[in-house]
Amino acid sequence: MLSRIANNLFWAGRYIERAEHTARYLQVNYFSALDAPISVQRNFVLDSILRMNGYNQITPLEEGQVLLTVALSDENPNSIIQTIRNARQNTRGSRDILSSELWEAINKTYHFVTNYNVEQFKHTHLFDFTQSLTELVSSIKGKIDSTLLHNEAWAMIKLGLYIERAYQILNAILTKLDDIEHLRDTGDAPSMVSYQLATLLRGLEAFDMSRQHYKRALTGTDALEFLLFNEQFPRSVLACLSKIENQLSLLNEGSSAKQDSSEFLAGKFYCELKYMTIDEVEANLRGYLQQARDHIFVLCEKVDEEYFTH
Amino acid sequence: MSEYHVSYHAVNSYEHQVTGAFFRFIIVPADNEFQKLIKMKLRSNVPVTWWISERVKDGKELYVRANKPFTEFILDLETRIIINQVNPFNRPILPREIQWKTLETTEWKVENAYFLQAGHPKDRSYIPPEWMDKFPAPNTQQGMLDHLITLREFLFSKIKFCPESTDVHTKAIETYQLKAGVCQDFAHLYSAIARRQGIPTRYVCGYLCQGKNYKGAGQLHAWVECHVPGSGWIGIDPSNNLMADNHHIKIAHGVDYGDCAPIKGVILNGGDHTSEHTVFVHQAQSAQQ
Amino acid sequence: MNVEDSPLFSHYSSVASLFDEYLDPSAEVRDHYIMLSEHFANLTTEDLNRLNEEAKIVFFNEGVTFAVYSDKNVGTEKIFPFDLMPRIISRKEWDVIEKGALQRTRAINLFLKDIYNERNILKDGVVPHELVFSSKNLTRHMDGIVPPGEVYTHISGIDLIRHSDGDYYVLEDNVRCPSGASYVLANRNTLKKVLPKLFDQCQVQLVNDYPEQLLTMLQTVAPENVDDPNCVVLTPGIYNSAYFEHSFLAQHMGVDLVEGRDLFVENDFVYMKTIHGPKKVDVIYRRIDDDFLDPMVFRPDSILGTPGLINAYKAGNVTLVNAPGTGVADDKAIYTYMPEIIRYYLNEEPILKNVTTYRCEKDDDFEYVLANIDKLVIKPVDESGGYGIQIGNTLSPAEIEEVKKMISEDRRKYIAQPIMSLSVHPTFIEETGNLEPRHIDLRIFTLLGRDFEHVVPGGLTRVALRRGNLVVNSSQGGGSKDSWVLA
Repeated sequence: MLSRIANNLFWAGRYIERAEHTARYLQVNYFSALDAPISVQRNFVLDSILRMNGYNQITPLEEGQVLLTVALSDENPNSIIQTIRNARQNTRGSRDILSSELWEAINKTYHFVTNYNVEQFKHTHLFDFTQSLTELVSSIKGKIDSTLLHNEAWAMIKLGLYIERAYQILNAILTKLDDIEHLRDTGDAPSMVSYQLATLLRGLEAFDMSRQHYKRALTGTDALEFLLFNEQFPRSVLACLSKIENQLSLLNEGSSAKQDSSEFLAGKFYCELKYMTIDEVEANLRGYLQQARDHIFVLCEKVDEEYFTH
Repeated sequence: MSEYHVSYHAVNSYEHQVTGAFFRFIIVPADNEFQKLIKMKLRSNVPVTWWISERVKDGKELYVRANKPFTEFILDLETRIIINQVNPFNRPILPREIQWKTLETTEWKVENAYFLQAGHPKDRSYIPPEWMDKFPAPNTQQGMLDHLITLREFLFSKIKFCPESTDVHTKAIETYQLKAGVCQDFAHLYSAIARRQGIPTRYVCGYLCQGKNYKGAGQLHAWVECHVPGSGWIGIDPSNNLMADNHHIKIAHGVDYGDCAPIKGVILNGGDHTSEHTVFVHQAQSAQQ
Repeated sequence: MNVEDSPLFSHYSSVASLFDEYLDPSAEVRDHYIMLSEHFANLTTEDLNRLNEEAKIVFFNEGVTFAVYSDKNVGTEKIFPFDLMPRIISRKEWDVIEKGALQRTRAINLFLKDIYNERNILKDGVVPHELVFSSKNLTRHMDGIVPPGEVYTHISGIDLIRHSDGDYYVLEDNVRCPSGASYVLANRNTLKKVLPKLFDQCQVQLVNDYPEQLLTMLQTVAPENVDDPNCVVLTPGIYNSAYFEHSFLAQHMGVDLVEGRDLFVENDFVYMKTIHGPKKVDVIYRRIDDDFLDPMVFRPDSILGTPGLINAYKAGNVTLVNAPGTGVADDKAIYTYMPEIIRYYLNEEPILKNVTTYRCEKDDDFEYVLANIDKLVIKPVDESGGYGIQIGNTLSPAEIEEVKKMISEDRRKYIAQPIMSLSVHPTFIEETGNLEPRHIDLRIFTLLGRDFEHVVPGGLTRVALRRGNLVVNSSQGGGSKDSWVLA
């Protein structure tokens, strides 16, 4: 496969996953703010949504602007509309190796986003937009798994998808840590902390399963442990790393991983994480999460160097 | 027979970091019946992949790809060349009537077509047809070589060699109006006139041995070659008012400077840049054979 | 059988001054159209409307589109208008066209080889050398190059029209990577789905092996000593209006579709960048113009090309299809000499007619032109894109005098040709729901390789959908038809 095509598919995977995370975080945080324990937190939640999206805004934005920036802005490169546009653009040049079902699912999502009524979205349809979008993305993912040969092209899309997911999970946790710290500074009740943890888990569709796993009201430690280490849960960092290693092994055609290759790095990171305890992590929580995010960065650079430049 | 050492040193500096670069240099001396390239050494400050690509006719191109990012690219080329004695007056010479008559034949025009084109007003070696009465006209009472020398002397007397007066984009029309130029301007103007007179002429780039106070030494030099029926391509150096001899080391020829630009590149990022090069040519001491 | 039998043809009447492909001069259906005529006789306007919609859906679903771009890289994809009623060419006529197309292609190929090597045809004065060396499409970089198999124009498209005298004439040659072959296949594919019974009855020669033929041809012209050549299609990218064709052909040949940035040159060999490292490329079917192939040699500002490509080609390490510099042969001025070119290289009389051309530089031609300007088209030899063309029957007496003066002042610059009329063919018109006569032409595709020749049976029939319009280009509201050669 051509390096350029591989690069396009890898990024298509990343954009598809990114759009979904943005939509869910937007939905869960916005609606939970409506019945938050303290009503002044509205602006605070909007700010959290922007930070999660990687959008640094110095002057505060009003609600409508925030929602537009994250969802339908042409200026913000991480807005949902831009990520979907990029995903479509990246797959458009490779229609000959993708199934028409997958292409149609992507195209449908693209038309849904680009034709969405902006005024309705701002005022009444936030739920409809984010909900439909997550469902459309989920349909794209279904087509990826059920209509493609599980070959190099598929492995590239999935690799991008899992790398993005690992990154977004870490990102969400870090954003919530900031939120919680901010609340502590303003002297808010501990009830607020558990409330923030619940939105974190809901934003990653992990709330129900974490409850089932621990069979009790979750502590912060539980939530972290679940999102980082629970390999049975597909939206944990450990599960993503396991998948990443699998995809890289497929791309390597099963030959053993060379030292310092991307597969080697992914495997090493996976093992480190697998035998890490939550106590060790909590000793330097922020530092550890940032370090994990750096690991993902380095891994991406390796993938780029190995697969996309020659 | 003379042996020369040629050192070419180029420094290209860029405003921003260059993330990918592919260069074509036309700086390697040609291998032909008059000169032999016997040694070549290449060095650069950035790790590169390089190869020599033979041009179809007479000349070499050096391709270089940089394998690491840089903001400054330095290239050094050292070559050793052996040049046979060149004496244009030793060539076979046809009777002058036959020389001039040959120019009229279709076969001659077809064989030499690329070096006879008057070109387009935007070309470097173009002059308008109505200017032709300003220059010494071909005289069938004179041998063609003598005519070419007359033309050379005429230009040398009219145009002043003047560094910095022009640049690589200067056209023959401008050189004539300025009455000044450097070696490539002399070569362009000379080609433009000779071609309009029906004499096939090609632009030549190369090196010139220093030390003789020649114009164009210490830099890349330019002169021309004219195709004289029965005698072959004769090298003429209009900016020094000389025939090209064993002090002239040819690199390549073409229609004009555009075919022979010493460096051409495809650069990723980098922004503005400056490019400088210096040339040092010296004759090796004669030694026992 | 008579046309009045069918409701669809109730409004169909041919124009006496034009050649009608469907009806003979006594308004009888021509023999090779009888089966089709009977089939359409059983259809109503509603049927045809439905079939027309079905055809559109087939095209849309299969993505047979060309792209029109506006701002923000957001493209609109349009389907190439397709007419339901196939154009039929009888076996007898096709045999002549096929032979004529091959003859012309061979002659053009020999001409190119000669121009870039010995130049005998110029030395012998058969074609004026000034004409060749002033052609914009001549390139010095091909001087002395003989590609593998001695093939320069691997893929040619010859545009034919049928004049009111019933004869086919070559309107122009296209030897710079002509496009349209994918539409031939897509049209056939669609028509089979929409009119399966008719297609089955008629025993039409197949066109769907074109991708295989193309790949076989590409393999025959691989550089020497390459056993299993790696062939690729080189495209300018998804923003090119013909991108559909590029990706269609790559996909159906089973080869990679690459862009300039996917390739790089090292040691005069070409490689493509893959996820498992560099892979050598041997044959490039390039759909990029000469000017954009290699920024080191042609346009320095080109970002579509691959630096070093031309030298790799000159070194014989990669084959470009078609060769650079083939455009000199489809130059309008050279066209005039095509009959002489055929006689010179093949020692044969041309099978396909050239449109009669009067060269004003010749005295008797000049006198004829002056006396008959109202019946002629006057064209400058060195212009393109229709610039400077004067159509005699549209000029006022004063204008005619001006044109005469213009020609007299520079007789070498002008040629004149009779005003040609394109034949007409029944075509379904959506607005009226009827079959109406519309002007058509025919583009023939030929392939030339090492000991390999192929002509696509039928080719692409283009139709001017607007009444009276003689321009068949898709940009001018033209569409296309499936073209059937009966077996």
